[in-house]
Amino acid sequence: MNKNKILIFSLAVLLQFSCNKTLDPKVYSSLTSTNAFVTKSDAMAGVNSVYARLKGPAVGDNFDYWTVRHFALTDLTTDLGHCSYGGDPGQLSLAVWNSSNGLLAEDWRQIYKLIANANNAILNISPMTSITDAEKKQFLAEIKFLRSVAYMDLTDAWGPVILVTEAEVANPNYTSQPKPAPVADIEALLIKDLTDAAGVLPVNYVNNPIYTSNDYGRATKGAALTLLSKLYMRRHDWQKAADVAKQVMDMNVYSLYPSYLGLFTEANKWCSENIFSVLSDANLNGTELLNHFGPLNHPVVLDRWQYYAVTWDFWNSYNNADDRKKCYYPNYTGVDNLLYKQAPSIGAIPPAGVSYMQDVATKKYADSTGSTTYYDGHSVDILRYADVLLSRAEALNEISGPTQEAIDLINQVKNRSHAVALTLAGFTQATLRDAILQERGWEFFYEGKRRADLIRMGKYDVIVNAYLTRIGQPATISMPKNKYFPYPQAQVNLNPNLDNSGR
Amino acid sequence: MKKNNFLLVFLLLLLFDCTATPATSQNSITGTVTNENDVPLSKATVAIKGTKKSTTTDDRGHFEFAGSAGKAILVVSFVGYETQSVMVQPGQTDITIKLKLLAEQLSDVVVIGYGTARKKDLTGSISSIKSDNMNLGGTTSNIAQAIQGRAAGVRVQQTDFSPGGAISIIIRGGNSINTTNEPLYVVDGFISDNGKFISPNDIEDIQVLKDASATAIYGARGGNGVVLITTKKGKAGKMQIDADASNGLQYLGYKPGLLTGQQYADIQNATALEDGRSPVFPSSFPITNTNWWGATTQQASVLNRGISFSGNDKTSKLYLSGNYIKQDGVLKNTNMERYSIRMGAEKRLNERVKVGGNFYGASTNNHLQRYVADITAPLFSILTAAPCIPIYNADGSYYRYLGKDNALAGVLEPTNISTNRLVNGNIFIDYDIIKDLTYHFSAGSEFAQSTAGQYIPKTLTAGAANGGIAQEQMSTSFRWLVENYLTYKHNFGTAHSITAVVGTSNQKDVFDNLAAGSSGFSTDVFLFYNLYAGSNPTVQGATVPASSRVETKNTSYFGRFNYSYNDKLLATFTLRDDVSSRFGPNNRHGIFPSGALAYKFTDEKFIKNLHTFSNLKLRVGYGVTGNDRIGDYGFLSRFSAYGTSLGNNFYAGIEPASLSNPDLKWEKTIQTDMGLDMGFLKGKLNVTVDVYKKKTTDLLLAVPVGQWWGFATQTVNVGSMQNQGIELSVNSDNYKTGNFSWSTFFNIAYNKQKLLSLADNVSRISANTANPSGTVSGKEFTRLEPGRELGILFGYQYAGVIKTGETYTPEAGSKPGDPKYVDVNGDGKITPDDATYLGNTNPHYTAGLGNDFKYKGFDLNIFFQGAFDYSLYNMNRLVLESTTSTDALNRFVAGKNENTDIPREGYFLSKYGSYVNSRFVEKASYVRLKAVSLGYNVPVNLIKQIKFIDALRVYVSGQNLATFTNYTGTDPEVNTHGSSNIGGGIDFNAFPSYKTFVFGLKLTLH
Repeated sequence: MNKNKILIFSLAVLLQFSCNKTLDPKVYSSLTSTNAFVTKSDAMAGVNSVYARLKGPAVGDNFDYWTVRHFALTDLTTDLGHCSYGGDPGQLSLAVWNSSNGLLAEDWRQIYKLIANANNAILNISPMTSITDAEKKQFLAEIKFLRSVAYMDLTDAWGPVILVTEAEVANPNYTSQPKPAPVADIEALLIKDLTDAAGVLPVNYVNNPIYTSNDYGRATKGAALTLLSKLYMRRHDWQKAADVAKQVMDMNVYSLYPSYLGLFTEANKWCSENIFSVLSDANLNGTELLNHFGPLNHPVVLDRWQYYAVTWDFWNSYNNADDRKKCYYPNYTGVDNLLYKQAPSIGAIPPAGVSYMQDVATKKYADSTGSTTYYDGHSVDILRYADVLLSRAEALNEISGPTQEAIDLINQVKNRSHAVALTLAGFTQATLRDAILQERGWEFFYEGKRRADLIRMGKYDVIVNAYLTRIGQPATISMPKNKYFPYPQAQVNLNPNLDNSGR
Repeated sequence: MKKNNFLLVFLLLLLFDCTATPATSQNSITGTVTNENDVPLSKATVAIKGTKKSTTTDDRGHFEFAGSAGKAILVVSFVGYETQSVMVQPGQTDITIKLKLLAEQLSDVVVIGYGTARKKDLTGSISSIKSDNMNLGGTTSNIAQAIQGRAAGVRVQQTDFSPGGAISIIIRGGNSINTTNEPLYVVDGFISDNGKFISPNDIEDIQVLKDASATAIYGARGGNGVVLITTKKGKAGKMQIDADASNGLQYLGYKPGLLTGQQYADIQNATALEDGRSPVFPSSFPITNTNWWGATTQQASVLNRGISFSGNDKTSKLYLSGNYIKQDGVLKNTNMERYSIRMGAEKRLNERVKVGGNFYGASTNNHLQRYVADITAPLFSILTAAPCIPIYNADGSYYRYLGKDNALAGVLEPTNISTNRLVNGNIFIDYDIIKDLTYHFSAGSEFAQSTAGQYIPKTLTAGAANGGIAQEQMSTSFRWLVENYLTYKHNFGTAHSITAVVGTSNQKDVFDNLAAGSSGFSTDVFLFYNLYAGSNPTVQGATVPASSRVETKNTSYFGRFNYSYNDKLLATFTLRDDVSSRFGPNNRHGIFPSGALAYKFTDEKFIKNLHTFSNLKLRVGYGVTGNDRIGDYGFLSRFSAYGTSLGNNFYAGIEPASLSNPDLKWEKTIQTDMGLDMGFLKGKLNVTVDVYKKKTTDLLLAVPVGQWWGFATQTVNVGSMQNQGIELSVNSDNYKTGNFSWSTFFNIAYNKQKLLSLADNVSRISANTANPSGTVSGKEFTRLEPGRELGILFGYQYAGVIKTGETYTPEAGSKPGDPKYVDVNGDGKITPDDATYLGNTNPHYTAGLGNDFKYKGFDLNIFFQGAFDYSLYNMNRLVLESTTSTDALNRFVAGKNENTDIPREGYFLSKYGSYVNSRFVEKASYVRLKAVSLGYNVPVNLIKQIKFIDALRVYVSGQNLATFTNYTGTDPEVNTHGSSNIGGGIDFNAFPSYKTFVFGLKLTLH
């Protein structure tokens, strides 16, 4: 009797493990490798996440990479960008950065995030059997275009960087310390990927058989060619650059938007001038462009920070007739009833009721007709048609000096803004190069182009140092030291092969 | 058949008993043994010294030695009481002998994991805290507050003094870098994630299991120590109702010295002039004088109401209670309110079966502000609010300077409410299968729901821009836990006794989260209670609809073996196997053994001959425990949602969620403990000393990987930490007469923590501060490196300000009035390499000292508590100094005020160094008069006319009445980084500390 009882209760104790049948966890709210890439819809979601990383860091709060912070590297570090706040942006603005600058680290992180998503999507989509070959080709072409955008930006900023592709992600060794790949190797990959993509991607997505929703904003043939042209420009491969730019022009699908200010309103998300842009929706995945670019204490564009602004020195360089000079907030009466304006001279003390602004806010991502909410839905144009025109003009000038074709291309851009047109007479190759560089500044300020333009034309040190001198700061830029930024210190600590000597 | 035999014997015994009593004769020695309260003690042993005669008392405490008249010495002993010798004169009968309770009841039975043990038989290090010794009443609303300072080696830190604010318990130093260092809470045998937050008024006692010998039975959850909470079960004797009501007031403890409006405006204008800006407050600006601190804080009330019913008869125990606490905050628009009920019941169904259960339900409501260490905190707005601007416009609306909400609006207008509801219950059955063998089954479940809602009304700028912003988040957790075990107790002869326990435990947890928000309301009336009324279903800068579910499963097998030899040598061995869904497939099982030995020297001759010790026990223990709070799904390769806009649509996207690690497992702690329990002066003085050493390995670390992998880190078990320390606790009954008694208890603990290693490619882990000014990002604040401890402040050595005409070469280009930092590495310039060790922020010593006095009906308890040898970063002072505090009057002004350490315009503009510097590191050691209570028990004869009143007690008490410290900030205990192990102590926007005075009445009825 007792023996039986003991047996029963012992069994009760020992057999109780059956309550939890399996100790494999059940996953409810995320996908795992067994169910993530199964259908076409999954593959599309993989592609979408690569586009998504053009901005960040969160779906609903975007201030990384192309929505704001990338401009700290491309524009703040030049003669046109200015940040009156101290810290990391202030360092970049005064050209006194070092390897622990947080904004350098942020851009490095975010660009590689896009590359990682791209590699992951390529790795997972490539073996899929539930999609057609045409679909697979399309998806991989989009992804490789996006990855090229990222590597282009990465190599602009740091030159040789660690080249990671789907091959490395397939068998990751997270503790490895790879050597950075030479820029030429990375460019070879980009030329191949972009050329391939240009052969696969459609001109647009109207009535597209794979994507049925007529979307704009996805990678197109024109986008791949434009980026390829810009890559050839960087390589000083002028003939190829000019040819590919011409290819884009000959597609006859792009044209300049009639109004410069209209081009950048929040409402104008996409138009004939857009070749490739980052798109946002103020409510669903808004950016903080308006917060960072909007004017301080402005009575209409309320509660913005004037964080990324333009130097007075640069603003003053516009001709008054130029519409692009109106893309700024140079003077206004603030919510505090102070008159905000430019100081008559550096260091001047304002009279009562006046505040001298250290820099001037731009309307490019802060037009007064857009969102009044914290987040906004401005598009950022990574590639637009004016760049194609000016690129071809520049390439032509580099190939054969000033030509009427080049002058006409430049004047197309100028005329749109009612700026004073150029005439061929009197230009040498060198002076036209300078004019193009100047024009590109006026046209593409805060579009992520300035630093690359200055470096490509060999004028980074000359122009930025001249500006620093004019505002009474030490002329700190020297080449080739400043051609590339120092690698982020935390990455150097992890991988000593990232060598910052001479940077 | 058998039953009848029993009955027969029983009846015979009764008969014998009945017949024996009338046989009393004049030749006998007779008497009664009672306790101090004249309650008869049955089964007490009475012996006649020098003879072999011995008897035990009957049910009425009566004894008799027939035919033993004459002079004799009776020796009376009873478990738990002091043995007494009584001289009996010839012919003396009906002697009454009162036994005194042993000063320390070494015979106490205490709860240990999966069973109970006599306190004197413990082999592990356990601190016991009885409800009488807790910090109850007033603003005490949780277990941690109740035991702060009461147990050696149990560091309780209230990092946030807001009503219902954060409080941490860390036992013997934290083991972990990245997971929690909180102990496991077990309430009446049920493992509860909410054990810390139950009403402390229902607690009978708390056992804190500190060493591995005690905690290893909890395996992968025992690594941080275990807090075993036993709730009240009903007092012996008659039914009783206790009603307790108290009201109190809280007074602000911290008051910053603030500038007047004119002083502030003058400084702002002067700084602007120096910078070449126009006056901030031109002469046309109407200067007012607003005390924002005064406007946003208040004297606040706290009240407690409690009623409990307890009853107990031979076969059952019952306890029912209801408690209510409401604490308003000294910061406006903050409060905490909780209703709770508890039931505890036990019933012996027959000789073999006992059943019981516990039930607890509570609802807690909190009105919160955001006490975060960044510039979005209301406290930041208050401390930096310009005193020269008014609160209201002439029309009564809030005044806005530069279009920004003012500090009072920021405190009063937003709604931020969190509601926590908790229900848990468990049942058990004890079944005595045969003699010595018991089967225990228990099953319990817990449901906790936390709902937080926020509303920003249109009276605030953000609310106005968005038409009101509402959001709500709800998280629920559900747990079931089924445990059963067999206990076998047996004595082999008189010398050997064993207790063996084997059992299993199964647990499942489900966590659900749900969040939503909307904006664009026609009215502010709904707050967050009608999201659909908003025109925009998503929220700017806040919650979009979100939900998630996480599930955790555990299955465990455990066993314990106790052996006792001659009641002198004690040995304990435990083993647990934990299988958890959190552990990677390569490490699914965790095995946790422990062993301990103890030896009681008390009865050894060489000790007895010393005539010093009433108790002397040496304990040595060793064991392995773990920390399984490593998060769920960490080992899996997962993908999460990350979508984007394309065209006019938003598209879903998926991307890798993390870098997976199939080897992921628990953090492992190996602990050795040696302890000595000593009793002196017949048990009036008891001293316990423990020394321990813990080594934790397999620390869960986010090991940096190159960001080219798409992630900054991978979570890996790597790294090790060591804690060693010593603990002393002393309990002393100093004095005791009929009317007056005085007892003292004291504890002090020292813990030394040392990080032994991080990962191969990780030489340090830094934590940043949050943004302190709005113009700069967070800077490195703490740094964890091998050889150091958690929470080490790291920054620059401050060296004053640069004077006019001074050239400080390490800071080329700096201007007079700029902060000056020491070139620590001597390389001729100030770079991040000059950041250096500035101090530790976790106290190395903690202590508590209590004195309890009783005189007639009065009782007085005075309790001090303290923490020593640590620093805090006084970020408030940094912020205040350059904004609204009177320190700003002493800022550097070229040519006028150069003999100062306060820079011209703060620390944010210089490109050298950082605002994280030695100037704001302050020693924070403190001694606090934590609790004082004075009670008066109204004499029974005054109230005996009212028949149903048994007792009436009137009391006054105070909490945090005085704090002795050199620290100048809000409070030396706060830490707005409190939730982070590596965050380091910082006083930045912390809820202001306060003193509490309480008056109360306690009524006992029947």
